[in-house]
Amino acid sequence: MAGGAVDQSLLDLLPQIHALFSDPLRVISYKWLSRNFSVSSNDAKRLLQEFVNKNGTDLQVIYSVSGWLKNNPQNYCVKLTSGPKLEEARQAFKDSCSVQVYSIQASIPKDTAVLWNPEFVQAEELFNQPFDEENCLRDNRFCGVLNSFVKRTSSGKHVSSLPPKPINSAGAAAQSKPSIAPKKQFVTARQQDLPGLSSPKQGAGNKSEKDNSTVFDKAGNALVVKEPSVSAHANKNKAQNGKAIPGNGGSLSNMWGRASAKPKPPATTNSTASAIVAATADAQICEKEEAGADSSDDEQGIKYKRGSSSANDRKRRAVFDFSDDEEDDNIIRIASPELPKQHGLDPVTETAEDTEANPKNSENKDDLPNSVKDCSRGVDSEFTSECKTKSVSTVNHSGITLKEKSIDPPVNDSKQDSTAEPASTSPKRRKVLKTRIDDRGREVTEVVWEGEASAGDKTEKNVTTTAASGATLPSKPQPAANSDKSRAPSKAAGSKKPAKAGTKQGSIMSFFKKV
Amino acid sequence: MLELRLVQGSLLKKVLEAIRELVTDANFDCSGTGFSLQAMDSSHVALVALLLRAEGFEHYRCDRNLSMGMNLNNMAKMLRCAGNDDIITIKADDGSDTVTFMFESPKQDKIADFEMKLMDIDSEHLGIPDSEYQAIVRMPSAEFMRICKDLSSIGDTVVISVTKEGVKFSTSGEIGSANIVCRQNQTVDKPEEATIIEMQEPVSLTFALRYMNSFTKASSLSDQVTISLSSELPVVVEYKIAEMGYIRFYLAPKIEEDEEMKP
Repeated sequence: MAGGAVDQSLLDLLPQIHALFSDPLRVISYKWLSRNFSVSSNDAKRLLQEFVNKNGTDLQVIYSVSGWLKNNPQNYCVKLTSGPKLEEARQAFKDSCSVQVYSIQASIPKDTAVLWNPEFVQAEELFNQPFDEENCLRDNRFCGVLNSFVKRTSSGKHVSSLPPKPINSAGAAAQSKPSIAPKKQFVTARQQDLPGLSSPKQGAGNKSEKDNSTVFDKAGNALVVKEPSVSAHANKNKAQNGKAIPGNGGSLSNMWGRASAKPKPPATTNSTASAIVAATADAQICEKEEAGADSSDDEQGIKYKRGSSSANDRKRRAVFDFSDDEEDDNIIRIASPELPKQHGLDPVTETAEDTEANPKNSENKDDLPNSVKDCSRGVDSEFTSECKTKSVSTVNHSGITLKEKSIDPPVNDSKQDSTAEPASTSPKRRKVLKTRIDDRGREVTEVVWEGEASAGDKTEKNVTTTAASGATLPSKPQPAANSDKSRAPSKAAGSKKPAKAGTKQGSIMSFFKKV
Repeated sequence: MLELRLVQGSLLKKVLEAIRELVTDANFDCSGTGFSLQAMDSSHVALVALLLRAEGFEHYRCDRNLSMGMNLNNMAKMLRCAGNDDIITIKADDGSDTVTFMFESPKQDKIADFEMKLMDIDSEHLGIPDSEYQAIVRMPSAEFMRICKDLSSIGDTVVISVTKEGVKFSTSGEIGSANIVCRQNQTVDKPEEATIIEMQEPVSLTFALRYMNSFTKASSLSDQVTISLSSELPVVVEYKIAEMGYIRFYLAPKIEEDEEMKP
């Protein structure tokens, strides 16, 4: 925490922060601030500190406290804590812990997801920008980890596999090194894996990011302890590290995104671009997820957080498929049985499975060939998040195979989902993809979190997974029929009553006029 | 200044019980000719028109036309406090936002005043033309009530068909169907038990039984109900109120239509 030297140029931002803060629902985190004003995270933190110093009374501060725990000196802990509890939190740490402002807000949100939401939205926006546009996420300019051997370009040609040298302001600097290093290596490893594959796709990027964080978690597990009480925060912090650090990962994913874009027909580039963006956004979620998956059961806070945030942010995604022949009959698509191309398998997923699920994978490839081109964004997200779900349950990706997905009958599929789930650390919530055709004839893929509570969703769930599995199959008819069926009854139900009488209730107003 | 003294106070009680289910808030219009009400139900499918002529009141004073918005449930609550034989007097001052119901026991040994707050109600007053109906059925109101009640246990709608043979009420539902035919019958000892059908031409219309059942709440007002049907018009279910007026229910028929007609 550096109260001290804050540039005048930074101080000029204070009025703006004040203006932002006047929105009572807004959470201003240093990360958001940093991206928004293109200042470094450290500056952003100082800025927030400055703001707190000046207007400390009428705002709530969330601090991030990091350091070595007293009761568990082996573990480096990063903890988010609210202002009043700061001292208490500090007690748990050894002498020299670092305290920084994480965010300021008018009130402490009940749902920790709110803390993270604006950042996520922002990240999504940033990744949404065109490729040639530089932004702080693309070029990773504020990454806490710098390495002179790493050359950052937005096209991401170059990634060094040297262990990075962290200069993390979080005070975690030296300590976090070990956890980062393996991660980096892992990245490289993945990278080496990938070229062997026919056409690594953008999703691979995020996949590997995900993997990174998995490994990160694994490697870091020894080092980083997550306290249940603050697990959400801690994880978030970590994820945020993860996000910043694999800023490299970000450009990696860009690179892979490029690579995959090539085999696609030009028509699809649009959707590809958005796919990449979303994929990377997905990746962020993945990271968090992975982080959550590794930790213990008491991580439900984090699930909840993600659940709600995903509900907020990614409620609905319209997928416009601009690819060749289907362009004109989006609507017919609902029922048209032959759509193998539309839902071809995704190399991403292959890469996800490649190490452990090779035999199955090869079968997948059989399904694959002609479809690679056509992967729509929807499919990407489906798969990536499928993988996500899976990797949540089985961190190392074993046991999840697209093959299972595509071959199992839908019901089993969903069952399998749910059976796989208990194995995971979080039986309570899971990510489900809902693919449906909306009233405008577009295929909409929703990634939603479903909890146990929503028993009513279960049928929906089934349908969804059906759709998902159908998507991987070359034969579309099943989901189509399914969705048809699922809407047919409702329609029938709707029309039942009127139909029964074959009549419509007239209005008295149509007979008598107003005086 | 408004002062209406109704010796047969139970009539007003019955009127309220008859319409309060259909309409929750309504304007009572008082003029020199009488005390009236017109209101539609919330779905604008049915309309109730009430008239109590000035001559029916023992004392009727209405200095100027007055429209009093009342919540009918509240009004019914107050009227329930009146005995069946009580004389009810409705009083309101010009410009006042309350109405007073005064209940006098027949022996004049008990007088109760109930003051109720009025409310502002935007009501749409509809002009109801006098029409020739293709078929007019007069029948015992209890019979009609029984038919509606019975049919509503089987189906949601009733088809009322008038032919020269009589009037047929039919319905069908999941458990089956039902037809009830009432023939013309004027050869009864008591005129109130007669069933009289005046038919210009056969007519058959479909109505929601829910509303019909609601209308029959007025059966206690009159022994006879008059059902007037025309293929182009809402059905009119009319109960006479002693010699002083009527309560008429208008119900829009269900229109034969295919689903495609819907937007």
